[in-house]
Amino acid sequence: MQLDLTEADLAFRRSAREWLAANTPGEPAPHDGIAAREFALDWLRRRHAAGWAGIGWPEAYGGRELPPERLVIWYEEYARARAPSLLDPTFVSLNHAGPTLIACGTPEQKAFHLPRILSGAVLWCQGFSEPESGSDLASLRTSAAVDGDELVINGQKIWSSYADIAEYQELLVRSEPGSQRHRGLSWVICDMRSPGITVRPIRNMAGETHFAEVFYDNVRVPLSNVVGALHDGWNVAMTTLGFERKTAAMGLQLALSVKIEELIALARPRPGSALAERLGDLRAQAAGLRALTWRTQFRAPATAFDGSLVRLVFAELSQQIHRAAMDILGPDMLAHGPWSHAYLEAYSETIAGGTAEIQRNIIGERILGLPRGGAR
Amino acid sequence: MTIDLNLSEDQRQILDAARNLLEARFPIDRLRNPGADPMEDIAAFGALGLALPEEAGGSGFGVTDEVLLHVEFGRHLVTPAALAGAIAARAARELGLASLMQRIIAGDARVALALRNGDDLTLLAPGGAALAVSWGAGSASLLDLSGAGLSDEQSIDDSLRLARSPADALPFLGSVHSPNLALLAELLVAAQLLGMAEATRDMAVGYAGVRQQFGQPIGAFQAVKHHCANMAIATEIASAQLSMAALVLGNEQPDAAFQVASAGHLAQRAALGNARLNIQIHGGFGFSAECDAHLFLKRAHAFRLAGTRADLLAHTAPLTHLTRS
Repeated sequence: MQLDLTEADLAFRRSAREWLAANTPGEPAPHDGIAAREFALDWLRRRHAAGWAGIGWPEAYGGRELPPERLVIWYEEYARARAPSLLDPTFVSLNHAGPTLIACGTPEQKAFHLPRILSGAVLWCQGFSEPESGSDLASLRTSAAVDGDELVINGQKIWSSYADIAEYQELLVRSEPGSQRHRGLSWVICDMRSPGITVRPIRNMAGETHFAEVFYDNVRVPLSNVVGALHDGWNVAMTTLGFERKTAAMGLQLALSVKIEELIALARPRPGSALAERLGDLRAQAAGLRALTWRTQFRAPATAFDGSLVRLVFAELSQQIHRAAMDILGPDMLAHGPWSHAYLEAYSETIAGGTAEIQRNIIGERILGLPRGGAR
Repeated sequence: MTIDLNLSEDQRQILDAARNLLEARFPIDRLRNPGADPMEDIAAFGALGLALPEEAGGSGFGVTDEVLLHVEFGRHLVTPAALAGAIAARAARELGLASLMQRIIAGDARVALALRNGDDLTLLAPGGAALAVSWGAGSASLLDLSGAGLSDEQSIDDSLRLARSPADALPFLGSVHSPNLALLAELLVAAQLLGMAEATRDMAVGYAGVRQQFGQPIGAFQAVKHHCANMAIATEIASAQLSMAALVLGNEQPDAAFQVASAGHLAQRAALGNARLNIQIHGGFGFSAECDAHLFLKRAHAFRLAGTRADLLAHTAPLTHLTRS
């Protein structure tokens, strides 16, 4: 165990801090629609032009190939600067699609898509969940029939964030007729402008319209858009979710630490009061989450299911922080404002990307080695 | 930059040696026939002077190594006298009591752990103790028990004896103002609590994997599985924070007080929460004295009292650099 900062680290921190101070947008990010798209892409283009986009990506794909230690510093400074939430319309392209293509894509797929993703030319959305396949993702039914050098896709996806404003979708489909469960799936790049696609946006409980249902009616996708091997989509999808639960999560976790400090400043609790104890507990949990993040970032070899545990701690801490904020605000919580909005949004934390219950199953079965239950 | 909260090869070796000793000499079932844990084994391992410099008679290891050792002590419910000895040896050194320090490190002068309770003291593991140590608010004190004539009594924990005395009835050997020593004591308490949290997690998971009801292991049921997952979560976050606090305290960084307080808070929560869930998962057996589960609950309460309840808002924010000035 060790903890050392070199002069070069401090210089890197200074340069990140200075750039963020000069370039972080002052206005709040719009929550949905074209305005959210333009804001997020504009912010990404600005980072890209200055060399701050994809800093952990390989140099061959436009990144800087910085080690995790530098990413920690970048994300700490990003949180400190109150830069826009990383969970914005670019999240899927930068943290799902990009890393998945780097890991599993063909040279042609990488050459075409990675520069467009990193430079903020396009947005991606996710197409995994279906109305009948939520936690039980492997039961998905959206079909892709091979027809010559194309796939013909029919079915329906749901909870696809920013599907209404994205150019591409990472789409998980059943490509082998009659296949069961995890077998016979494929991970394909779907152009959202293809004929036969209908997007119906869904308003969420926080009042935003950033997710959607997507319907596919004989949508034709070239076979060359399959990422990884045909019918091996489950493994590719697990790679995708692994990225979601790693690097990207770090920035979100650090942003939570900043939120707690803001909450303490807002509440100014009397020492010894129940509120002071509650905020102290949250602060200690945030410190623990930060330590946990550091440990898992640098664990070698990485353990595959660390991510589930860290993700769950993050999600539940986020909800606790926002609940505390509502109690502190009193009647003001009923009015529209950043805390009320964030409070409502936080309900998605223990659902999206794997419910808290599923994460606990993973912890129980994959980390602790407990037996699987009968009903799945 | 190097940020590494994982174990080094040297640390693994120390841990393996400690585990071998503890498995052989301090199995949990020894506590069914209570008697004082032999301090000579602990002392011979070098545990009481592990992080003291070699020229002072110590073993010259670091704070992070000592923390790992005390996690193992917690797993085995080693007598609080081990923790008391490690802190008392440092206090004696800072007070210039060199020969006392040597006797403590060698295991010849046994040390009881003193908990303050207003004007009174509750001493843990007073049997055969020559002195007691207490700490709090940036200082540590040594008390002379040699002429005290204390009578010890059974605690709620059959494996832990205690004695009570008015604080002013025990002569002071000395008190040293040392914020770092007080923080180190808090850190070692947290380490022992974490060890208890790890042990109860493992006990519960082990039992849930073999105990059958309704034709399957109870760990296959989500209600039980999720209890176990919660134990794992509480343990992991406390463990990561303990390592962070040990590194930060070892480097004497300005956020040490907060990091240690957070480690203590998370370790208390993990130890007590896991002890409760472990009893629940063991069912009727868990409520019986024949199961070891209650020992961990009772010891977690005792060690929780040994740690101070720090005001987590009073310290310098660990992420000061993250907040706008």
